[in-house]
Amino acid sequence: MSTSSSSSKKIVLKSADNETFEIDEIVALESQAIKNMIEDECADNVIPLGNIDSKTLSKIIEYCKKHAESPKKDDNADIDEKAVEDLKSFDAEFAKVDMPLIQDILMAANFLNIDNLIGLMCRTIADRIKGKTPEEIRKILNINKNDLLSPEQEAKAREENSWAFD
Amino acid sequence: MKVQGYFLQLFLLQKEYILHKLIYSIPHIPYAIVELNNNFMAIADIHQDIIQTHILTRLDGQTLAAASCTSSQIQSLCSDHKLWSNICASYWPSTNDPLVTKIISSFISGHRSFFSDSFSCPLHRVNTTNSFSQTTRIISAVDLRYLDELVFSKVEVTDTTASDWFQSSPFRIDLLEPKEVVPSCIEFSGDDQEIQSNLRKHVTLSWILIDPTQNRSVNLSSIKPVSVQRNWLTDEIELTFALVTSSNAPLHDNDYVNCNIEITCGIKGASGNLYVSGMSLTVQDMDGKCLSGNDSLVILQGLTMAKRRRSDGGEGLRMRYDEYVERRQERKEKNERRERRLDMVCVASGVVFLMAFWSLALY
Repeated sequence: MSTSSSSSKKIVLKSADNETFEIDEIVALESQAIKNMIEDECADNVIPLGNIDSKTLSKIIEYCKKHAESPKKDDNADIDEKAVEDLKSFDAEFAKVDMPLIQDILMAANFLNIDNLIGLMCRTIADRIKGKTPEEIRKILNINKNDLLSPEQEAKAREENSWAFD
Repeated sequence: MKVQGYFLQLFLLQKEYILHKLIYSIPHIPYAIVELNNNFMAIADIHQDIIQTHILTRLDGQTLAAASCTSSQIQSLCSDHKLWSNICASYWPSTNDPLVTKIISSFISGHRSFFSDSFSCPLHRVNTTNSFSQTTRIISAVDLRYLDELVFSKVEVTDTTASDWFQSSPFRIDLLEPKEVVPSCIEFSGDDQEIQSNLRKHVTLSWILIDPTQNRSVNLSSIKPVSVQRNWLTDEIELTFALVTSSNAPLHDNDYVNCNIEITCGIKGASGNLYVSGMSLTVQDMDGKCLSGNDSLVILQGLTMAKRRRSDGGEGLRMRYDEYVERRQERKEKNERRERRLDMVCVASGVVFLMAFWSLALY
């Protein structure tokens, strides 16, 4: 529980492709998983993140940095509107990436337990498939061929749900 | 002891975090185990959890229905009962009523069937030749909104037992008692035209009729009003919502039948609050005459069983209502012309007869 005194402390993250990222501890604390590790004092040296590649990790660090910098809602009841707006537009801009990266970020955010980021990525995916046809959704979500419905199942599902998209 | 403690926590905390803890709490752990950890984390597993709790809950019913045609994994996630009952409750608060919930639970796929029945729009033509088993009651679940504000929500049970009285008298469901007034906190200002245009734009109504015998339902409302008019006699505003369909019953001869919902409302007090003083449903034929209980029930049951299409938010229904009103007007004029002609013939023949009589009498 040494969050206040260790603002200058650095944490090193290592991605799957062995790239290292040195970040401030305060930024790393955005991740609940890393926070728990720090609190349990098992994050002394490099934290290897064997399932997150450097591209995804750098995006996540970008997100955490921005969110760690901006004032938290519960810290101060009357934080200025501008900061909230600023964070909102950052999030909107941040989410403007292609679908595979969004899925990677989502997986990693889930692994690192960053609630806000999980929420943002899920909202983005939901917004992208809203009002779309099954074909479009399949394309957007890049659904695995092995996971498709059998022709009979699909015909039945389409018959039942045709009111939604025909 | 420590290891035991971790296993206890395993049930309380997220599994990835636990794995992390386990791995990092053992000193000098070989890197290979970290790798093992990554393989251990089943991708589909995590995705499934996220899809269900974070993505599907953010979708509307239409997208959810489309998504359930994409893959077997998503299909099984999309058929979750809770998901659909939440959607129904957010669209139609009246469906939270215990009676309605109980009936919905006997629909083929529960709330999912109820949603697809009630959200979609029945095809313009209903087949009424099938003889349905007559139901002893029908249930109306009604929700009236102004923008996002719920103004009125009610569940009404109508007894439809086949009695002489029900069969022969005009069918009508009233949701409010004669003097009953429903207040609201929606404030209005501006002139009459502005009020009417706001009502036209922002009022939405859902009137779901449930047939508990067939376990089917249908939304009889055009969602948005098809007509807004001030009644200068009572100084109240009448909103009409309509579902115009055509029926192949011999009685209607393929003509239009209109499920007509009439809402009477007004603005009261210095602050100009909206109130509702009347809500009723009738089924009308091509001449605007209200059908009897028996004839109405045939149409209403036909509508619940009708094939569905995508709802366009009521735009198509409004156009269809205009068409119906136009046809009704034409018919009325035609009848009037025919009556006038008949009158003329009567008058002319009377005159001829009179002249013939006098000429015979004089000469």
